[in-house]
Amino acid sequence: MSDQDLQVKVMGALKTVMDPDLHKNIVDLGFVKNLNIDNGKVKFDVELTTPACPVKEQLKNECHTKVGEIDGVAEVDVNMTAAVRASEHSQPILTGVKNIIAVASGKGGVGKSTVSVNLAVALSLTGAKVGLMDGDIYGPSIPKMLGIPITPPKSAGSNKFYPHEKHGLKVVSAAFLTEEGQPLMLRGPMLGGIIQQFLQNVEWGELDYLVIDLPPGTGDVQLTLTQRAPLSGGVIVTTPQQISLIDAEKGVKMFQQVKVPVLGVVENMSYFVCDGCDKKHYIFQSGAGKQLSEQFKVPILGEIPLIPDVVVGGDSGMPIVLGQPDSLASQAYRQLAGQVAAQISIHQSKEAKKVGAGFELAWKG
Amino acid sequence: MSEETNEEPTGPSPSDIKQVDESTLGITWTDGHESVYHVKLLREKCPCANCIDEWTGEKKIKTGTIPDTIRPLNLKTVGLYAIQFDWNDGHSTGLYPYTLLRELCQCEQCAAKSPA
Repeated sequence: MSDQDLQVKVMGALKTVMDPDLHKNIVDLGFVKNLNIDNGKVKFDVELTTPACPVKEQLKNECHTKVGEIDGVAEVDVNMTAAVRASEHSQPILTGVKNIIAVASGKGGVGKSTVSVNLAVALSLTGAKVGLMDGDIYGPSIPKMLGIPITPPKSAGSNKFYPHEKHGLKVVSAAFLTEEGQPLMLRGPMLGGIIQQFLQNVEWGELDYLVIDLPPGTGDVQLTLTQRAPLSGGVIVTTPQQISLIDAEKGVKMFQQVKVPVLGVVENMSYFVCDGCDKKHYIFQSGAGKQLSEQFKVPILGEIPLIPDVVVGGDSGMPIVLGQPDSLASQAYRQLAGQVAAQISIHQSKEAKKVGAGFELAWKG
Repeated sequence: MSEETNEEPTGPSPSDIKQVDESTLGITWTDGHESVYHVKLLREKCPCANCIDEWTGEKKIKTGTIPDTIRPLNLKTVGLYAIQFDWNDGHSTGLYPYTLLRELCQCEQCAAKSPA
């Protein structure tokens, strides 16, 4: 069989490989690239929409198997690559950032910052370029969680500054704007100004994902960010107990009211695993994550167990995803990253043509 | 898994916003609906706290104070959920969420259901 005949058969086989999230085959999705057939040796790339794709291995194996079964194929070499698609917007800010994810909770104390930090690191471990914005102006804890010493940001000229870099992330936080230990005591209207600076005056460079850790509640900072930043999606963090639902609901409704796509819910501190008996203890009861997911018809992106090492990680500046990659919590965070990336891709594929943020029309006459 | 539609859980968004003529705004929506608005009506229905009492919802603009010559100077989208107008009477603080704009639609279909 000639190489040309083989090419037709290979493409035919690849047309039966479906992306389970986008519901189309990988050929029609434009993922198959650089197909090269030389004497029965078949080589091609599959370019996914994110390096964090949770079904990457599954798709690779399916391609390998189906192409391998074709008569005349001597060898199959499948290379999984990724090109993160940008969520479109016409705003003149954050132009090099492809996707912006806001992490919110209705209330404080659910572990939002821990989730934001570990989510950002897990995404970057897949090969994506990731930034992290600490939106909690009054209580900025992200530098400590990443072990970044408090130093002022480096100037980039013309009023701009560079983010700090650590563990593969680009990080911006109000903690870097004051001396260590000094509280930033500001009235409401000033907060918007700081957030504006984070959006307009930081040299983020090219990023695949920018994770924004929103402060708890639905106040000034959340309003500024949801009104002015071209958010690709929001994630709500809750704990399992019923009483968290009331506040988590507000978080979801906040995103809905400003039409930011709700990517899903993360249930943090889902359960505690005793290292003595390996049994799961549901210390905070259970169910809130699932209820929220069913109520608003959004997916559960992850259930993170409560493990003392997560806290140690935060306190020591080495996030658990890096410090103890084999722990249950780290596995849960890696899954979370995959699900978040997948949901962004799904939302992008469903985007009806609509007028985005930053559209302007001058009136004539 | 249920069949996915392109329906948005929070209502349709504009897929196109354009100036129809010197005093008419047109919006095409993602659910296919086509809206037209006389700009004077839009100004009269400004939802900002200076034009509507926040607590009672009572209109604070006295009838007849908005001239027929009222025009927007420009308009822009705010985030993903509203439009803001800059008016030639100096007013610009109103944010018109898409849900409000759909309610105000004055196309033949909608005007018949709920005249302004």
